[in-house]
Amino acid sequence: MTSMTTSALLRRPVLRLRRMPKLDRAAFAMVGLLLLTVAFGPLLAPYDPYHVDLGQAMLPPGAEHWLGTDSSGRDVLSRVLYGARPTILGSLCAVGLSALIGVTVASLAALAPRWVDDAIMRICDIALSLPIMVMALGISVALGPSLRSAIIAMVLSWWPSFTRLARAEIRTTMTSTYVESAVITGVSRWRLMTRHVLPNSLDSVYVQVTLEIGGATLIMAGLSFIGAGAQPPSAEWGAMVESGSRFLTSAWWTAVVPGAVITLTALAFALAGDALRARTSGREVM
Amino acid sequence: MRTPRNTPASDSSADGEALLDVRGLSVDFPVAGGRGRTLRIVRELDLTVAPGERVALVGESGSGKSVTARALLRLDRHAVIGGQILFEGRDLVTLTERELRRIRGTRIAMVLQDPQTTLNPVLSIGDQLAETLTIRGVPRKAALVRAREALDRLGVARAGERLRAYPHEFSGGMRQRVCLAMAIIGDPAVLIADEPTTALDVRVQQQVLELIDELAAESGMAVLLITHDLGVVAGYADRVAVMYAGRKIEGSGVEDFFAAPRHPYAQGLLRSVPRVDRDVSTDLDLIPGTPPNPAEPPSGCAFHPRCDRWVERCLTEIPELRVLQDEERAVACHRALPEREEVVA
Amino acid sequence: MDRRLTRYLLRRLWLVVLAVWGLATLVFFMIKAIPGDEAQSAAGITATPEQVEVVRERLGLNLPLWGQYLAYLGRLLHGDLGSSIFTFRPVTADLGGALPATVELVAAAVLLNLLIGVPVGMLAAAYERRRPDAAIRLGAIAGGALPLFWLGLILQHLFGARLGILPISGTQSMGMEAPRVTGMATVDSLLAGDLMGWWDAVQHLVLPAVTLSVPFIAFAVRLVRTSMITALEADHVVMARAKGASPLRVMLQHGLRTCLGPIVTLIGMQTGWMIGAAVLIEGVFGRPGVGAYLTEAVQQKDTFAVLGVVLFTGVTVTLVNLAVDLVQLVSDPRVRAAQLGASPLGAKA
Ligand SMILES: Nc1ncnc2c1ncn2[C@@H]1O[C@H](COP(=O)(O)OP(=O)(O)OP(=O)(O)O)[C@@H](O)[C@H]1O
Ligand SMILES: [Mg+2]
Repeated sequence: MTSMTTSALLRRPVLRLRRMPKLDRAAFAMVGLLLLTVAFGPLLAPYDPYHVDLGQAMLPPGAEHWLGTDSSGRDVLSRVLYGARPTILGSLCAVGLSALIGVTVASLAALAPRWVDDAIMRICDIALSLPIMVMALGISVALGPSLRSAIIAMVLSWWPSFTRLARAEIRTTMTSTYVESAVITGVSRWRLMTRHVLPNSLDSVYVQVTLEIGGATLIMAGLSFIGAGAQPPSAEWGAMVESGSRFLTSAWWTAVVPGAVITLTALAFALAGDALRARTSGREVM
Repeated sequence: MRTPRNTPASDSSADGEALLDVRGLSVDFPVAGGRGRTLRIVRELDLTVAPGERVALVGESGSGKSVTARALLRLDRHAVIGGQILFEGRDLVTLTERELRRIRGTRIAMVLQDPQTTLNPVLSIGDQLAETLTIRGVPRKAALVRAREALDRLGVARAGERLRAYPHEFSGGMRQRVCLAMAIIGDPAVLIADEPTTALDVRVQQQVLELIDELAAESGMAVLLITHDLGVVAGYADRVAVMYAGRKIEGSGVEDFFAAPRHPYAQGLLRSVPRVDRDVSTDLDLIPGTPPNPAEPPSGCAFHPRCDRWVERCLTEIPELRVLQDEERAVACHRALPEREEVVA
Repeated sequence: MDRRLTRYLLRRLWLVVLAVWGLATLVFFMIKAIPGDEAQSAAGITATPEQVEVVRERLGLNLPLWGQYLAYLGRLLHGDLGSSIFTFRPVTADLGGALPATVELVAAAVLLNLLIGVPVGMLAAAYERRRPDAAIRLGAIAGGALPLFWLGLILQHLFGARLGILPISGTQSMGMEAPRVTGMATVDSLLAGDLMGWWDAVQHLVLPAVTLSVPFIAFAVRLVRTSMITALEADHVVMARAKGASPLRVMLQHGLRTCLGPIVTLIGMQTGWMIGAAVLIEGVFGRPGVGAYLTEAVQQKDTFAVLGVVLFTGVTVTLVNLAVDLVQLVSDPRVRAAQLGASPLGAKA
């Protein structure tokens, strides 16, 4: 069976750059750049992001400090480069874990009897009835505010949407003829799921992961902004906006720069996700 | 009714007074995500319908019948239409939307292919039937009375009650009748009916055809009937046009057609019909091979890969639709011409 | 029909009860997960050991876990969410005071969404694959990528501090406050017949409502566009055109009417998300709403206040979802048929 190989998304040359619209190309390039920053940002940073020097406080962008310094005299560019890790890596973790849990639960639901499936869907409903922010604040009082709590909270509110998505896809795949023929040859249910059903059901999950990373960075930064995520003085973009917000009049860059970086990140992942979706569904989407 | 004449490059049976005269129609669709590329689905299509005439348009699935029908009223949002569609002396291709709107529904009416999806699920049957009239300023009450009459005419029992029902409460046959009622309520001069019988069982099929027949006879309405079913063509139409891969490949009077079709494709169709009369229904998709993909049409004659009589020329040269000498029909085939002419050419 | 309707409503209500119970259980375990002595935190850090013991007794914390769970559910049934260690008032009372400001904000944002998101989405669909559509698409993606809190700060700085055309913070100017009836400044000033006060309240509402609505409008535009395009390609819409209906009529009567379902669902879902998002901006704009209360409570480590709000929000969203389902039931004959079951008439004909 061909389904031994990976999903159609990975099989097909979806990333053929030459035939891609400029905007999509820019989005993928930006995502690449962001991932590079996650990996090498600290190496590129010109200064120590935690080095406080009140004599250098609130310097506007210039030759010394390209993006200026904040109220404690820390270099904003260095802090932004360091901040890619907690914000983007944290979001990747949150979304990746959610997807993993979501798909696992959906697979189990597909193999389990009907009532288990029903119960799982009810649990999803409940989890989805808590807005992420609210869930996250609940978790942050329970476990104490930290980047880890923020990730746990995001996973807790996010896995059900992946479960729903994967469940729908798995159900479609289960009714296809090649799965039915595999059933007839008598493979075990475990093998059926891992070898035949899942590889052919996960395209839209991959696309969704890409799309959601953008949203996740927004939430991650938002949680830090209200003090439920990464704690100051750590170089996290949302926390940087929060501490910069008091100096909008005197040092606008301290709040504007990290916010703009968050926007760019969310934008890049949203556009890249859209481009991927358009390629896998073969349809122009919005 | 059939008084065919030989007019150049056309199989028109009308006395130069065709009600609907389609010349060189082409329909292109933009390719999704193709950034401006288009796909030509219908090409160089000529078709005429005289007042009161009943013309059948046949061809296998995907040959472009529905696209043609919808193009006549410019109904597909993204279709790019070329050629001419002359109706009562005006070219529908160049008419503005606003002018075209006056023709849609009241001069030329349409029954779309799928009655399951043609009705709006959230509007009552009555409001949908009445719409053709209400949007033209007829008061709702009066329009609903007309809607009831239309349903009555189509033999829908308890029509008054049915006006308040919603589409999901109707069976397939009933929906088809509603669609027909919706088309005739505007009292059109031309009815375009896209496979109005395909979804129905044989008994209802017969009823629906007889209904259209009656309606046409009563009001002198011309009908362009799209169908898969040669039995329907034989029993019902005055003239036939056969489509293949977006082109018209043969057009003639119905008796000539059944007596001796000239295009190998049309011949193939008929070969699979043992005896042509009302009782025989044949699916047109029974010819071996598959129709060409519109994105990669074969060179030369689009039918040559499935043709058993192709010659060299068929691979390179697209045959034009030509009126045969001494006959009242047009054929687009290099091999259909009389021997002597082929020698000359 | 009536019996089927009753059965449907009962089933739906049962699901709501189930969901509320699930939420309560979740919150119970969140409380249990908190390190340290719960009685101590409930009584406050300044409490004497005797006071802590009294609280422990009262909250049933000396019972085994399942006993505590039952005691907790029992208190919930009496509407007791515990007391805030910060305001020393019952959490329900605090919530009651904070709710109007949030309701006002969310309602204004939903209104903006309906007034802007839906028409713009329809416009994009009408111009599908042409210039305006591409521009709207980009705008919507960009709008969805803006961090709310940051956008709020910048708008506040520009329009409030720099240009000085809109108030920076609060719900009403000093001295303009109307007597409190509903707690919503815009409504109370109207009730008091104070037009100046109303205008003042509206001005205070503009920036937060616009900020809050931006990502939701961005999302709504895309959803409305997609479902409109699907609707416009449907045969019944082609049929409407074949009848000679005008483009506007085709858009509204045949396009919008048929995709009202997804739009209502979306607006309902967004109402829930907005309560969450309000957390991010009520603080920025100094609005004394549920979000601001929650943020404050988190910073004060006010456990019962936080978890009370969590439970309250979950229940609210569940009820909004119920309302959406009921609206669908009333407005869409297909949903009615699917949920209540109806036999096709035609079968009999
Ligand atoms: N909106 C569209 N955009 C692009 N291609 C289309 C569109 N509508 C139809 N086509 C293509 O045009 C070709 C002809 O389709 P059409 O529906 O006219 O066939 P048909 O002859 O009516 O077939 P059937 O007998 O199955 O109804 C098909 O290949 C179809 O894929
Ligand atoms: Mg068709």
